[in-house]
Amino acid sequence: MNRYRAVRYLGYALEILVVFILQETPGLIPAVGGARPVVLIPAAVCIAMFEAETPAMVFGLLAGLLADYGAGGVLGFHALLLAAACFAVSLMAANLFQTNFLMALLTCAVTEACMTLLQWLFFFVLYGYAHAGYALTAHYLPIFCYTFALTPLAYYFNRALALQIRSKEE
Amino acid sequence: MKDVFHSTAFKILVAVVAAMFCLMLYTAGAGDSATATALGLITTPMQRVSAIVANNAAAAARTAAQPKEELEAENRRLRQQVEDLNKKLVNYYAYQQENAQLRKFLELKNDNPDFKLVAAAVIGRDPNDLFGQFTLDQGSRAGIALNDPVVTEAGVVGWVSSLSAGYSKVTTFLAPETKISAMDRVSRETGVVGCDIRAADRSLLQLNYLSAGTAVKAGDLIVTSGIGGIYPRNLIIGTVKDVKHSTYDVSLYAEVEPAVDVKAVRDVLVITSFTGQGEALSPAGGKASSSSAGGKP
Repeated sequence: MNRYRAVRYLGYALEILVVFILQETPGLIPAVGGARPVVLIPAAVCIAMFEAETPAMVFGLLAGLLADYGAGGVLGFHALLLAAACFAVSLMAANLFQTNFLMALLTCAVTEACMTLLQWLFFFVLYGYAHAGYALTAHYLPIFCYTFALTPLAYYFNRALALQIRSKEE
Repeated sequence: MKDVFHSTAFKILVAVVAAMFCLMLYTAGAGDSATATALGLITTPMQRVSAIVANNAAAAARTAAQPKEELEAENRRLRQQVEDLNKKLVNYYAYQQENAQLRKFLELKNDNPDFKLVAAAVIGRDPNDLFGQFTLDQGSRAGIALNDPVVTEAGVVGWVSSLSAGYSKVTTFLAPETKISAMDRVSRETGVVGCDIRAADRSLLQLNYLSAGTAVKAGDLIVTSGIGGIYPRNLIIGTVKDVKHSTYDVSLYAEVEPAVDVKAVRDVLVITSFTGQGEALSPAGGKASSSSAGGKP
């Protein structure tokens, strides 16, 4: 592995760790309508858009494990979904579509929507809690919207990181 | 693209998915894992530092929002204070905060000599959790065990639902799985305090299973009854706001305004030992399996 690639991977790993700390620190990211964003999802998906399948999957796995650890419940849920999602995003970015801002918005929206819905299904509906519909509209939807709103930040940050180091690599 | 299913990357993905699925099944059954402990070892110190930084930044932001005259007056007063105490000011604020915390600690301890308490700070709140669950900077190394009650000087906060050596996760009273056996201090009627998502959004608890002729009324103080062995007796839960009819049966329930705002709490005390702890739990189950008393499904 060449030096620049190692630096890039280290950068991604640090980014994920810092994003996790920012996301979990009480009172740091302001709540909007009681919702706080799950920034690890757009960060992992945007990394996947600029990397090959295996590294994309590994960073998805790392982000997912941290999300699971933060949630304090079942370990592996976010890790499994994010690893698979990042693999798929990386594959599609290489073969099906161009990596640009609109595609980043689209892929992040789909990934975040799927993960939010599955989170609601597995950790609210199947737990047998009351008012599942209300929880979806009043809590999970705002979390999705807030997370989605931060997608441009994640995209441009990772684009800058990937392009800066790649230009030196070439 | 066609050969993706034969690629090494895809085989790795299948292996990862299988491994994560096994991990999910294992942690769903066993509750804790080496992976969580390893992640905790890396992230807990970082979360601790970021929580301190965020707290200091919040305090600084509050000061910046004050009017100019107020700030000038405060500035003059503080300059005077700094001059007076200059020689004694080494770690003053840290000691002051510690002193305030220990004073509260002592008050609680004086009122309840049987309590063994561990002071802890909130270092993490997950955005995916809807019921105010948080992470503490103390774990089993400090003597904390599963199901230990978590309180502040104002009243009950919740219980320790998972832990590792250096951190623990607290499920608050807003979570539907938390059920607290409670008593009206005025009428001495008992009930079970619980919550659902709608009540949690209004920061209200429900004292359920009150009889039709209940004497519970607005303004009454609700405390823990001690039944169940999870929470000690007479810890304040909140104040009755209103008494309403249950939608499901003929019983009544009281809306209780909690004494503690669990979504904003920053420092807590974990009661690691008290008289009557675990008394109502199954003899074979021990502390860790006392989920029914704690209310875990």
